[in-house]
Amino acid sequence: MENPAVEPVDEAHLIRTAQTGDRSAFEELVRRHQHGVFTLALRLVNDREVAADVTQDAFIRAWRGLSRFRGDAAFKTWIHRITVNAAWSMKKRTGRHRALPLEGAPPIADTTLSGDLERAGENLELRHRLRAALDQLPRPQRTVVVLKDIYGWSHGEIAETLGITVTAAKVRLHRAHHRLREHLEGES
Amino acid sequence: MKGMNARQCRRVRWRLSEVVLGDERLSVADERHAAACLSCQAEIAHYRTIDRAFTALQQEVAPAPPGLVSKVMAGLDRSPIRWFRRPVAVSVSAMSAVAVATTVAVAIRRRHAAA
Ligand SMILES: [Zn+2]
Repeated sequence: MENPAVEPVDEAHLIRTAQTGDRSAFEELVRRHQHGVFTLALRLVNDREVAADVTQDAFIRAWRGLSRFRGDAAFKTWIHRITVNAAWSMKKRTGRHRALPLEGAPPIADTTLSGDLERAGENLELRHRLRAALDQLPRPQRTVVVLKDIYGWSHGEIAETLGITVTAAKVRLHRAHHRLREHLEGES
Repeated sequence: MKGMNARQCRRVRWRLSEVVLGDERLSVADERHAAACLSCQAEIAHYRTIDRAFTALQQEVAPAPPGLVSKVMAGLDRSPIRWFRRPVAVSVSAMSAVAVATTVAVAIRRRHAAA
């Protein structure tokens, strides 16, 4: 017989159970997705404390809207969209936030992306510089860059989630790329 | 002819970000220009570097603060967060926070590796 302690529970099953109002199933979903949601929130709002609030808000919204989740997209995609909305509502209401803390890069990031130590150092340096450059972008531009270039969203998904046109998303992204390039060039 | 080349170069360079980082395509004539133009080549190299950095950023995970799950669960019956204006002043710059956290993460990894 399989040991339930080591057998990971299927996510679809967890979702279905949570949709019946089972909090422990939802708690497991939160546990599984907390770091991903927090990372996205942090990338969007640039402040750990606010990102924690956004994460909490996103999961609460998810709990309330769970009956509407049909499973046509992955739960991760769904909760990420909710997170962007939560961050967006927060941004409208709060003041300006600070830099872009994305710490805790797992070791796999360096080892998979580089063949040797020198290359790994270069990658790290580059990431730091890109983060600093991202930090210089106005929020609306940074948001589209984060969603497109880090999370791989399409222009359409970005436009729909942010309530802007596809053209506006493309223009924002284009401007953001040019600004990033200028910041990076200015630094080197 | 030179003027036209300069114009073409400006136009191509303006679009290269979305060609390298996005899914835009250059026309055959513009592609031919970019392949032979040093300015455009330099621009392409810059954006490829940025593209590599984005790929590296995709691997990063910022661990959620401890106790977040309990906080979420405790908040399920409360109304959604009502955002208020937070003081802007404050604290360490986030980049320092990155540096500290990354250093700690690396130190922990080294310790694990050594063990
Ligand atoms: Zn050129």
